[in-house]
Amino acid sequence: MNPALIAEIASLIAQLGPLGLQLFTKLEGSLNLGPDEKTNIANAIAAANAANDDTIAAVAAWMKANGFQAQFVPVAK
Amino acid sequence: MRRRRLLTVLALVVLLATIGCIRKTGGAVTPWERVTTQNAILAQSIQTATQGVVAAQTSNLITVQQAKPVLDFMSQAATIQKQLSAILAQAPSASNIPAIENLVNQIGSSAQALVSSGALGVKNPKSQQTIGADVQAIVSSVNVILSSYQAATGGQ
Repeated sequence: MNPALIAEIASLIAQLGPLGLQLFTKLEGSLNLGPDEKTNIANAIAAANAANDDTIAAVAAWMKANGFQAQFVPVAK
Repeated sequence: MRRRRLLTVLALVVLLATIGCIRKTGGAVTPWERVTTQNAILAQSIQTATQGVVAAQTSNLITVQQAKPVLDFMSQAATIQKQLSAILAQAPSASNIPAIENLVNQIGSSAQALVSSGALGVKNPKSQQTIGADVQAIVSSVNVILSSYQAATGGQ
């Protein structure tokens, strides 16, 4: 990645506090791959699933806290 | 809280800005690595955008009623993306493209329903524009993933 772009993004995220820093750290890790393709694929899939699981859990918790029932989407095959 | 709102936008701006900027130690990034990395970044961006929406609601920047359809969409997008990830975990194959297109279309339809519902930011046009841009960026990003997958398989 362009170093100037990294610096610009880092500067923006630094202004946004801990959540911004957390996001940058995650993205930076995702963008730096090791030499083994299979390991990289497995790591990327695991990272995606972990993030999606967290999103789903966070929304479910918010729904419960606010008196809603969490909705799950049936996906057509 | 304006900072949290900015974060949701920034998350997706960063996603779009960094696609194509993936680095690999000891060789070129393969098409399969590229598409799975894009997929991971999108998932992390949805996660962060969701945190921003929850934070915006708990700080009363938006109401519970305004937050609910947005969070429904985020959960739907994450659920659909888990199915996308299951496909992407397999070696790229042109035979998987229709299934991916189906998942991409589902996210697009959910996004369109959300935007056209007018449920977002009615009392705060600036917030509505921000979240609407987030949603559109998610749709754009899954289309980028589809294009990358098609390129990886040589499909159309």
